[in-house]
Amino acid sequence: MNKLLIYLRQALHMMREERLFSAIYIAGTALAIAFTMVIAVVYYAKLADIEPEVNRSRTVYVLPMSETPKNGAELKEEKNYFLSDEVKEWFYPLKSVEVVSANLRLEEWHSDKINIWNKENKDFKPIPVATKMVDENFFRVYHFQFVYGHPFTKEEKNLNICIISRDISEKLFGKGVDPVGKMLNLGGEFRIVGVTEPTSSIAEQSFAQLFVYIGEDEARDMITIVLKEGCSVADLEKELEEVAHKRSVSSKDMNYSFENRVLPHAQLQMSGGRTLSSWKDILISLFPQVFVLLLVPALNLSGLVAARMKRRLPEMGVRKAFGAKRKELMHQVIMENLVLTLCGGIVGLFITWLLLYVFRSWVFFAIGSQFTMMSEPTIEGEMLFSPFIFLIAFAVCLIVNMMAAIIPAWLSLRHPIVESMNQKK
Amino acid sequence: METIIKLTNINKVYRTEEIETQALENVNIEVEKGEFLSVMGPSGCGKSTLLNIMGLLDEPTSGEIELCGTKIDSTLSDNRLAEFRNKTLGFVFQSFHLISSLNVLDNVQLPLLYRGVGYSERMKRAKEVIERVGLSHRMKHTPVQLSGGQCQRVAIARAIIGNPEIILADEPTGNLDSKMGADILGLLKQLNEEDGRTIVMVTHNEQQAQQTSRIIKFLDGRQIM
Repeated sequence: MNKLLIYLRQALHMMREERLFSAIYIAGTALAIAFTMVIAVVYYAKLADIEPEVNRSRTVYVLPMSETPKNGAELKEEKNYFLSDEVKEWFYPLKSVEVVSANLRLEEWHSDKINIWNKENKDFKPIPVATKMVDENFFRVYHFQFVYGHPFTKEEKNLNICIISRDISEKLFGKGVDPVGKMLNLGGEFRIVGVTEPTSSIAEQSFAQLFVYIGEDEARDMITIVLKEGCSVADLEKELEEVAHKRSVSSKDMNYSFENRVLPHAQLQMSGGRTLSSWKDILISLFPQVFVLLLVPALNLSGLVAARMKRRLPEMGVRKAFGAKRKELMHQVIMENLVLTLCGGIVGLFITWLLLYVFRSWVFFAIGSQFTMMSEPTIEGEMLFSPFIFLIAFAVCLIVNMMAAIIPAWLSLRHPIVESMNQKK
Repeated sequence: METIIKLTNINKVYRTEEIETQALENVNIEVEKGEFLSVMGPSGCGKSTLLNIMGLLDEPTSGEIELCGTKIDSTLSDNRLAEFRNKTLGFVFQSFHLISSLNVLDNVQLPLLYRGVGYSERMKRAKEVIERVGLSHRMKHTPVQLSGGQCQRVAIARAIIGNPEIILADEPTGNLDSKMGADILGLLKQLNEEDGRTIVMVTHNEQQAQQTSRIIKFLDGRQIM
């Protein structure tokens, strides 16, 4: 403990004495940590169980099954949607499933082509909104907070009803006004049944500003499933292959399959694996890539440390002359680098927050969020302040920094004492 | 009298790809406990090499070393040698070799730090030896804030804090003016006479060497007297 305190004091003294070295070291570490943290925050925001996508770790998306003609002929056009009855027949009875929601994500509904009017105010300029057509189970898969009204219910089936987010409600009707029961013009007329708190467009599977209740006759292009606790993607795939097999047997012309049509959340979002992976597993699996990317600053850092150790050879020689063991000198060097890395970590944390606050649109747009150009992505506090994220980023940089520091330090400490002491400063 | 340093047939050869230099040739020295020995000779004659080998800072190419009755050979690990240096030897160098990032107090207590002595004991002993070398008012100063003579006093305090039996001083007055040099020599003599410490001092200064108990002289790596 005594030695640690002395090493600490000396590290702080060194920081003051070698300001350029310390500044470069801290800046390099801060940028590396910021870079790692931005990646971690992006992955966290895209993959972790966060509001309203609180079931991501159990969510699986199913696309329409593939079709292959039995006579070997070439398929002219594949059916790329589900009908309402098919959803009930194929998916509702599945044993591995807790909730099934069938929705429409057609491209035009994602774009800015949908305009809504406040029907009561004819002079109102139409505004573009991100829209989804969803069923009543959508609000069981995703947890939205309702400011007014309620989610869709089965009883409202086939009615022209919709739910809007609070920001759109305020634009259309003003602040503090309950719009439930009012009519919206979306080409046709739709009654508002609920108002949700706005969500971040980063949660793009659930994000919309206008939810239209999908009619019985509408086609669905994706099934969203929340698996039961303890059930795996393989369980679901097995059940779905049975469904496909039955359909193939009863068909004269076609073979059907769900192969490659079942996508866990991570795979859909970030090309993750075929199994249910938590964002932590995925983040950990990214370690090799992050390490390679951090190698360049690490090598630079290593060069800096090597040059510094060369300058400090006489000091190390003196310490050895008075009884210091190589292990003890390594501890000292490690402590000095720890102090600098810790300073870099704190600076890096602030840089990350600044980057994610100022450039969040660009960061998330760069990784393919669809709605970021329409709605500024919000980054919740839990994303930025997650101790796990900081610890991961800090641990990665700490390991890289320590390797960058320890190797030149170790090599330098192998110099004979007399040679070290006579080294010109 | 008890022999505290015994060097037998010590040879030191420095080899590079092109050249081989014999720094020490068949050196045989015995130093008695409590002796103050001066080693003299022209530059490059091997005095410092001899002191480094005596101080276990360098290895001889061949020959035997015995310090305080312990035979030092290649079977001793680096850690064991470090412990031995820490407990038995104290060094004073011509260019002081103080650590610029540490203040006087921290520089002086360095040997005790590596001996694992506790904080309060280290502080107590450091203050005692600093007082003894007359620098009580400079404890919090760093080496750059001290004169050459003061730096050498700090170096002497560091050399004696661990209570070593042997002090090896490599031209301790070489970088000092004559008055400061005399002060430092006086301090070393005091340590020898009052504490009974064995001191081996390399020096160019005949006048100072005359004040020690014995002088040996070197020329071209060989002991000539």
